[in-house]
Amino acid sequence: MSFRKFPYAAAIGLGIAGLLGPEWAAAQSASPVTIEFAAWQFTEKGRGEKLNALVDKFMQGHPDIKIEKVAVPYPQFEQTIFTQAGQGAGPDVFVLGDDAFPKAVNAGFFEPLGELMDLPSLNLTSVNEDAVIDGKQYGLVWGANTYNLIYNKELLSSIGAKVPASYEEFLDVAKRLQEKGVFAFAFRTTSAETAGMWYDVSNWVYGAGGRWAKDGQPEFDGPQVVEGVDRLANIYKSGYVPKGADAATYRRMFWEGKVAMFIDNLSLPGIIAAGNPDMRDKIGVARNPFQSGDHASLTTFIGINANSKNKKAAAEFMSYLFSQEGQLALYELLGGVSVGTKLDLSNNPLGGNAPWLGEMEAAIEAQRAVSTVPEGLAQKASELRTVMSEALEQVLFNGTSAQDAMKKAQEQAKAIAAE
Amino acid sequence: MQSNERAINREAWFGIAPAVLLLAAVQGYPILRGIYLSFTNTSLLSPNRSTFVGLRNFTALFNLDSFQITMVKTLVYATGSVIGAVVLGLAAALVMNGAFPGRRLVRAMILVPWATPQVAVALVFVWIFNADYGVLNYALSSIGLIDGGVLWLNDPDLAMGSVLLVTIWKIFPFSALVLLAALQSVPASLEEAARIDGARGFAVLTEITLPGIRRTILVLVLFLSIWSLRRFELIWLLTQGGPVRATNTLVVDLYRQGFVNAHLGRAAAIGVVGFLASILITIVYYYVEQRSARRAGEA
Amino acid sequence: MTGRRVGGVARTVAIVVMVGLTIFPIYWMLVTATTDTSRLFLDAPDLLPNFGHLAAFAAALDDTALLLWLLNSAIIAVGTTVLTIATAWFAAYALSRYRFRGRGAFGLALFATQFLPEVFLLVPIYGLFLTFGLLNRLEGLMIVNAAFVVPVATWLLKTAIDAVPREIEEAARVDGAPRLAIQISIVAPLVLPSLAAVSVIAFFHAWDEFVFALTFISKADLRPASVGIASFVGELTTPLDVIMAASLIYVLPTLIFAVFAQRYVIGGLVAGSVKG
Repeated sequence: MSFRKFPYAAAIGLGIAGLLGPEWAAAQSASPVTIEFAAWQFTEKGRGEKLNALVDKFMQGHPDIKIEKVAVPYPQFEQTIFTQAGQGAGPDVFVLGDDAFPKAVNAGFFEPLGELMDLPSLNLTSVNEDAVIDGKQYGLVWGANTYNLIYNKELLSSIGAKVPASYEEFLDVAKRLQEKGVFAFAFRTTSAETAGMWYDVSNWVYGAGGRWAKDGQPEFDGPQVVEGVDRLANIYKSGYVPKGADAATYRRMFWEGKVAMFIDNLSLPGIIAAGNPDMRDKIGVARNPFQSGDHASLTTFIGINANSKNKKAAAEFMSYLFSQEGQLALYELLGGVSVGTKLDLSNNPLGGNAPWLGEMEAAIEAQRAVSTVPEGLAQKASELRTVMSEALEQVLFNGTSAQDAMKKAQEQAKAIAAE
Repeated sequence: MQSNERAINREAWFGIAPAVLLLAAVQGYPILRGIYLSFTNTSLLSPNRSTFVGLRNFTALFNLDSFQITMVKTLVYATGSVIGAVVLGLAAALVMNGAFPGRRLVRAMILVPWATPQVAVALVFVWIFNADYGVLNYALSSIGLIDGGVLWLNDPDLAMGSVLLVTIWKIFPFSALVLLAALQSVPASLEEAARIDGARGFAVLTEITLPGIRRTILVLVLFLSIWSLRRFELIWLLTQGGPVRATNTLVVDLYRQGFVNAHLGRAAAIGVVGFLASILITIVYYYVEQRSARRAGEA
Repeated sequence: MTGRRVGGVARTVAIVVMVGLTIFPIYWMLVTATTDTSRLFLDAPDLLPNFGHLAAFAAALDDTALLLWLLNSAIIAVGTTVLTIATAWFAAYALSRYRFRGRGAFGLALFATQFLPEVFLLVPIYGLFLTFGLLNRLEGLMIVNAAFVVPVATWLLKTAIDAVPREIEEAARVDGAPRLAIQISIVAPLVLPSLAAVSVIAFFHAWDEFVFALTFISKADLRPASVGIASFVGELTTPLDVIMAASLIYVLPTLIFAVFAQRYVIGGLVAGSVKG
C-alpha cells in the first residue's frame, strides 16, 4: 500500500527541503549583497524613522548592498544578540552598550576594524579609545551619552526656585514642589528595568564622590557609595517620586508637566519635545545637583560581527555612517548627543529646534564623565548590575538600611569578581 | 501470528514516525544537550565550548539561599495558580452548567483570557496595576478600600499576589471548560435522585457531583501544576522575577542565569531541577490517584 | 445536559460578575487605546472608551508594520496547526488502535516532554536550527511550535479515537477500503470536535509564542505580531495608546476564533477529559 509510506515520504521531503532550501535560495541570489544591521533604535518613535531614512540613503548610494533592518526591542537586545552571535550567527553590523561591549569582544563577536576601514581618516574622538582592546579597534562610538539634570523650567520658576546645585538645595526644591502637588523627581525602580536602575544609581553614587570598583575589586560598601544609595532612597521614601512608574511612564509624565526633574541621558530633551511640542522651550539642562561634579556616561558602540560573511559590505556601511554626512544624520537622530567623530557643527541640523543645546554643552563641560562600567570588571558588568539592583530594591521596598544592603551586595560582588 | 505482529508493529511505527522524528529532533536532542550542559561551565557567548565540571553547578545552586527562595516561590506560584484556577474554574463551570439565555455568549466570553496573547496581557495589566494612574487603585480607593498608591507589582509583599491574579485570570477558562465538560458527563439522574431523597444543594455538590468528576479534577491539577513550572513569558513581562526576587520562579531564574548572566551551565542545572520537580509531582499524582480511586471503589 | 437551579438571581449575578471580570482587561485595552495621552495621567481615569479618538488605531496600522506582523503570525499559526494535526493524528491513531512494541515508551516520552520549560531548550534548538538553516524562516517556528503542541494534541486525539467503536472501521475494511482512507474519511469526521479543539490549541500557542520568535527571527519582515508589539517598548518611550490599539488588533483574531469554535472546543475537551 503506497499510502502507508506517505508519512515517511513527507518527513523525508521536509528534511530535504530544510537542508537544501537555504543553499538553493542563496544560489539564486548573486548580487546584491545583503547584510543585517541590528539596532534597538529602529523601534523608537522619532528615532526609528530617522534611522530608517539614514539606512535608505546609504542603500540609494550603494545599489549593490541591501541592508536588512533588524529591530530587536531594547529590553531583549543584548540577550538576543548574544544568543545568535554565540552560535556564530547574528547580524553583520550591530550596536551594543558599553556594559556589554567588553564581554562581546572577549567572546570574539567583533571584528577588528583596522584592516577593514580607514580609521585614521575618520577624525575620531577620544572616547573611541574605549573600544580599543589589546591594541585593536573592535568598534566605534555610535553615541557618547551622558546623564545630566533635565528639568522643567516653568515648574521651577513657579515656585521661585533656581536650579539646585547641591543635594541640600535639591531636597529643598523637592519639598516645595511636593507642596505644590508635583513630583519633584523620577528614577527607575521597577524590576524590569535593572539596567536603567544601574545608570540612575551610578549618578548618585558618583555624585557623592564614590566609585563602584577600583582596580578590578568591587567597593560596593564604600562610604560614599552607601551615601549615594542612601540619598536616592531618601528621595523615594519622602514621596518625591512617582512610585512604580517605569521610565516610559515617568518620561511621559514629565512632558505632561507632572514631574519636574530627572537625571537622564541627553537624548531625552529631543524625545520630550517630540512628545509635547509645548515643552520645547521649557526644557532646561544643567549639571547634576551634586558637588563632586562627576556624572555617569553611557557609550554605545557599533561594530562588525566577526562571523559576518560580508565584512567588506559591512565596512562600507560603517564607513558611510562615519562619514561627515552619516555623522551629522546620526547626531540629529540622537538628539544632540556626541557622536564618534569630531563634528563641524557650524550648520547644526538641530538648529532652532533644540534650544537646550547651549545648556547641554555647558553642563557637559562642567562635569567629569565616569563610565558606569565598574573599573576592571567589564566582563562581569551585568551580574554586578543584578546584585546592585537587588540591594536597591531591598532598601526601597523592604526598609533595609543602605549600609546593610550594600554590605551584603559587596559580599556578592566580591564572589562574582572572584569567579 | 509472528508476521501479523510484525505487520502491526510496522504500521504503527509508520504512524508514529512523523511525531517521533519531530519530537526527537526538536525536543529529544535538545533535552539531552541541555542535561549535558548542566554538568558544564558553558557561557552563552560561546555555547559550543564547554568544560566539564561535574556536579558543581548543582551544589552551588543548593548552597545559595537565594535558590531556596526560588524553590519556595515556585511552590507558592504553582500551588496558588492551580488552586485559584481549579476553584474559579469549578465555580464558573457550575454556574454555566445549565440552560439559560445567552449561554453560548457567556461561554464564548469565558474564553477571552485564554485567547489573549501573553504579551498583550502583560502590557495591559502593568497599566491596570500602575500605582498612580492605574484603574485598579482608582476603583479600590473610590470605594474606600485603600488609600491610593498601592504598588501591585513593585511591593515585594504584593507582587506574587498580583502575578497570581494575572495568571489565574489567564488560565481559569481552560480549567472551567475542562470541568464543564466533565460536569456534563455526570448523569443528571444521579443528582436528581439525591435531591429527591432530600439532599440539599451543597451536599449534592460534595457527595455526588464532585466525586463524579474526581478523575478529571486530578488530571487537571496535574497538568496545571506541571505547566505552572514552565510558565515564563507572563511572569517575565510583568516583573522579571522581582522585586527582590518576590516572583522569581525556577523558569524565571533559569532565563536570567542563562540569558542575562550568560551562565548556560547554571541555567541548565536549574532546568534539570525543574524537570525533577515535575517528575516528583507526577509521582505524587499517581499516588493520590490510586488512593482516591481505591477509596471510590474503582481500583 | 444537567439543569441546575442555583437560584435564578444568584446565578445571574454570578454570571455577570464573572463575565465582567473576565473581559475587563480587554475592555480596558479599548479604553486606553481611545484615550488621548494627555488624559492618561489624570487623577481619575476615563472609564469609557472615546470612540471619537481613534488616532491610535490609525497610528498602529499606518506607522508600524502591524499588518505585516499579523500576516506572519497568521502564517506561522496556520502552518503550526496543519503540521500539528498531520503529525499528531497518525501518532494518536497508532496509539489508539495498535498494540505495538514501544507503545508504552512512546506514550511516556510524550508525557515527559511536558516537563521541560521552553526556555531551557532555547539555546540547543537554536544551534540545531542554525545547522539546518531553519533560522529566519517561518517554517522553523512552525516546527518548534508544533513540537511543543504535538504531545497534548496526540493525547487529546487518542482519547477521542478511543471512543470510536472499532466495528465501524472493521466494516469498512471488510469492504476493502485502504487504512488511510478509513482514517481520513471515516474516523476523522467522528472526532471532529477534538480535531477542532486541537486546532484551536495549536493556533493559540503559535499566535502567542514569543521567546522563540524573538531569538530565531531577525528579519524585520518576518517578525510575528507577538515580538512586534513587544518591540513597542522602546528604549526611551512607549506610546501607551498605540500599544493598546495594536494589542487589541492583535487579540481580535484569536478572540473571534474562540467565539466561533467554542462549541467544538468544549466538545473536543469532553472526549479527552471524561476518560481522565
